Amino acid sequence: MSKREITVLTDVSMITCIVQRGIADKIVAAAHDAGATGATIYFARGEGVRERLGILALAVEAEKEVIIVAVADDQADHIFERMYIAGELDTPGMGFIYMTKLDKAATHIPQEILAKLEAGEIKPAPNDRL
Amino acid sequence: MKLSRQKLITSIMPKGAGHDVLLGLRKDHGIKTGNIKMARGAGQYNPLALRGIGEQTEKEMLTVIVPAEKADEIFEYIYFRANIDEPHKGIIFQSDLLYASKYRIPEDIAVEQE
Repeated sequence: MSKREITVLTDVSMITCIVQRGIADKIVAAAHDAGATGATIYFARGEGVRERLGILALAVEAEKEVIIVAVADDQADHIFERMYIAGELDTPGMGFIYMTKLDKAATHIPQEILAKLEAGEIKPAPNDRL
Repeated sequence: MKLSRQKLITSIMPKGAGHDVLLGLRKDHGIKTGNIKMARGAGQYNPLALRGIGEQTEKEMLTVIVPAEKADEIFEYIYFRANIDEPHKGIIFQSDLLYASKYRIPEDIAVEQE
């Protein structure tokens, strides 16, 4: 068995966004457009001030979609804003977005990018903790 | 109740991969609790990505809370057990928790069949 290596990424944040069902796709598209590499979406059920919004509480969907995106710290604020605007989260009842710091992350990194890193063509972020 | 430092490890993997990792965690690390959520992924390595939303596939999201001192070891264990170093196999990340309550299962219940 060949030796397996793990490349640990630091300076990663996770953006979590909770919106009404059906809206996630356009927010994911905005995140992609802003530079995010991938997103995960799952379903949830919300409860809160919905009952007090709109006529017969029908204006706001109780079924929610939760989007999580792992992003590099230097892009995080930009992606966060783009997702906020795409989801129109400044409208009451549309949803909620927050960002948390991750200790570390790891995924498949293509060989050519690793080679560039080793050759010094790409520099890790200056505030890299490793 | 004594609270100790804990870390939350989240791993997003293709559908069907989570159960094997949980079994492995129980056997090799004695971690008996974990959660698997179903999710869908929107990736970028796909021609469709150029036309908007990109690849969408069913994913499993495994979350497990582990003691801080064992976190690095378990992070690596899940990474290799779920083959996350291969393309399209997902991502794993770890975040700090302020506090977590202990979750214990009764000692005398039957062992689940593998």
